[in-house]
Amino acid sequence: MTIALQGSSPSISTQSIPNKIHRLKFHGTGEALFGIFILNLLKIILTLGIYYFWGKVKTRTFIWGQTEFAGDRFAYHGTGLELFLGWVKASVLFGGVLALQWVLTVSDHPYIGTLALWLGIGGLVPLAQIGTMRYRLSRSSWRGVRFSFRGAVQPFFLLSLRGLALSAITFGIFYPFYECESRAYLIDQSRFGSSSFQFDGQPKDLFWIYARHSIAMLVGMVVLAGIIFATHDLTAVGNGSVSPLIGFAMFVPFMVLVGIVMLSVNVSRRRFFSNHTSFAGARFKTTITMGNLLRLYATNALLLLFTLGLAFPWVTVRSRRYDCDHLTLTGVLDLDVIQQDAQKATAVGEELSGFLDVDALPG
Amino acid sequence: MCADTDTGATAQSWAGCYYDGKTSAQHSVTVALNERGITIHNTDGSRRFWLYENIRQTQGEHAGEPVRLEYGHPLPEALVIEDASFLSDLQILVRHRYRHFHFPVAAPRRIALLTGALFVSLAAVGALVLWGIPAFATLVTPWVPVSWETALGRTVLAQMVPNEQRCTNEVLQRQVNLLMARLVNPTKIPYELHVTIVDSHVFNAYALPGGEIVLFRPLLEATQSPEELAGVLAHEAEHILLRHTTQSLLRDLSLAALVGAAFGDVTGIGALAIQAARTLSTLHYSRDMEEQADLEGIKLLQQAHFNPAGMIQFFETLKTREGRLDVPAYLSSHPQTEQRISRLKALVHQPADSPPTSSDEVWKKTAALCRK
Repeated sequence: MTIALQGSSPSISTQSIPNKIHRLKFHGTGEALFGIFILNLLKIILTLGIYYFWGKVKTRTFIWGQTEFAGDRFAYHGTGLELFLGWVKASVLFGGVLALQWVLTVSDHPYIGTLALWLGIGGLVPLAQIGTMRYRLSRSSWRGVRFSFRGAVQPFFLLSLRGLALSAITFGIFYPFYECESRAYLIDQSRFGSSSFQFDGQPKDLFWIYARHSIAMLVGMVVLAGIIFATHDLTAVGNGSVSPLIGFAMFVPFMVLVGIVMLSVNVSRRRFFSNHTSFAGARFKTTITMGNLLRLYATNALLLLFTLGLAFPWVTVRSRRYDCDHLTLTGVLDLDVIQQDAQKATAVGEELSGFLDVDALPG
Repeated sequence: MCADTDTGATAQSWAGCYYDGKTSAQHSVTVALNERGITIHNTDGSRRFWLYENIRQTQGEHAGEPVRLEYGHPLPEALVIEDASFLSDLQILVRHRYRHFHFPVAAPRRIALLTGALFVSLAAVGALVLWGIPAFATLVTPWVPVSWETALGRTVLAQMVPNEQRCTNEVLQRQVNLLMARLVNPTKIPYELHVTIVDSHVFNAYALPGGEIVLFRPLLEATQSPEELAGVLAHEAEHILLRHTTQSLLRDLSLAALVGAAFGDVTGIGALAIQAARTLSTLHYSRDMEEQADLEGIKLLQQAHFNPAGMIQFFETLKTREGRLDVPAYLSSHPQTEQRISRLKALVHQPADSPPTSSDEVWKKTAALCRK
């Protein structure tokens, strides 16, 4: 991939651009986001829900506007009206599938009805994912240049179908290959202006991440079980003379083990996906570790717990800041000469994602 | 921000960064304000003029956020100004004339505004939950087709009461069906009332939309006479005939949708609907609905020449069981038993006009037939 150099700064050539680390920064405060949430809530209630879409735009405009990359902030260009129209169309699609299942069930074909429901939802999920990518990127800009997504529904649908089927047949062994392939499609088809993103993660690396953790989990379980069997008199357990408290205490090490392994998988996956993504030759790099991610999760959980959920805006801001602080883009990159190359998109997929509870780039 | 900010900003002008919407290049500019719009001076001496009415402000409303102004459509040019004094001067110029600009609100006013919004929101939620949503449910219920209610009731019944849990004793089922048929003439109602008896340890009875009544073994065995069971059946049948089940379901669904809309995404409305249908057995009827079902239930009993005292007798039995672990499921959705008994007693003035349906001894044997 090359950067178009016919921009307004002809004097700059690739040779004169230093290899540089570009950083993200999040400026938003929980207090400001709390204000937005409260005003949104009030307006949603007073309009019996209609304001929801305009409120979503308010929140996003804030989040985008508070996120800075290389000294300039992002901008969000979506409107409440297009989100609302997207929602109307998405509800017709989603409602159509539900109605079909309902009609088939009522007319004594419950199995065909269930099949229709699953096929319908299976078809809508890739549509929602692709639609969300296309809409969200097309409404985001940096220095006045839009992002865009060039992928299409059909190839992604076939890719997903094949990947999920093979994963099922191979009892999950193929899953990392499918996950890598779909991530590559979503990233490779993403653009900022005329320049594109690339994903070069190797499926076998992701496979080993999962394999390593599965083995660790298995070994850990066996070792823990061994320790418990060796230190406790099992005949006593059989007689029911062990108090439930000790039974629970025996369960705790297993929960800790599962927690550590899950956290480690999460960190490894995020590092794998970030570190194998590049933009116009410059590479993303994440500095997240199990330690700092655990600290974020723990403090956020405590905040939510002790405020009965009221700290939600602060938790959102903290997570966003964490993501920005731990991601950099390093390389020889001329950020001044990227050409505008915008794309049209509707909000149908975006709203469909809301119904189906899917996200474009999970993890 | 623009790398080169030394563009000769003065007391009347501000340094800014201009993006042309064609490339990502930054252009250092100076910006001046007048009555009608903003003049942007480029470093090469050229300039452009933006009218206030065509400018969109997308950032700068929050403390510490640079001002971002956009101009043109669909791919706008943009102007970003860091200096906070720009916004206060702009405010003086456009105040009362252009309402589409947003300025940071001073902290005390902001706190007052948010506190006010919070209280109004809470009051509005309260009003909506107490009056708005029930009124909406009452309004919509008559428009729900009976066939939908029936299909929903059957689907939920199949999910909640698996076949292996149902009592299959034909004598018992026939007795219960006879009571039901005597209570409500099947040709005069749009529903087909059907009682399913469940062999479980739960003390409960509930109605599903479209005619399905579910009766649990412990409750059945607690009835001392057919009249007592007729009382329970009459009450549940009235919930169906008065469409209380559908109305409550609509109320719960609207509430769930509202909560979903208020807190982030309207995630999985479909899943929500299924969830709500599953909780039909724990549907909470309003006090009015319960009283109405009691009142109409008594009328049903009298029309069918059952002794309405049976219904009252059953609640007396229930009272003795209060505090027992298995009963709250049934009691929690009903008014206070004591009040209920006195209210029912006031309703039943005339003495029973019919002899007992069968002896209590025979009935107790019949009621126990479910036990496998």
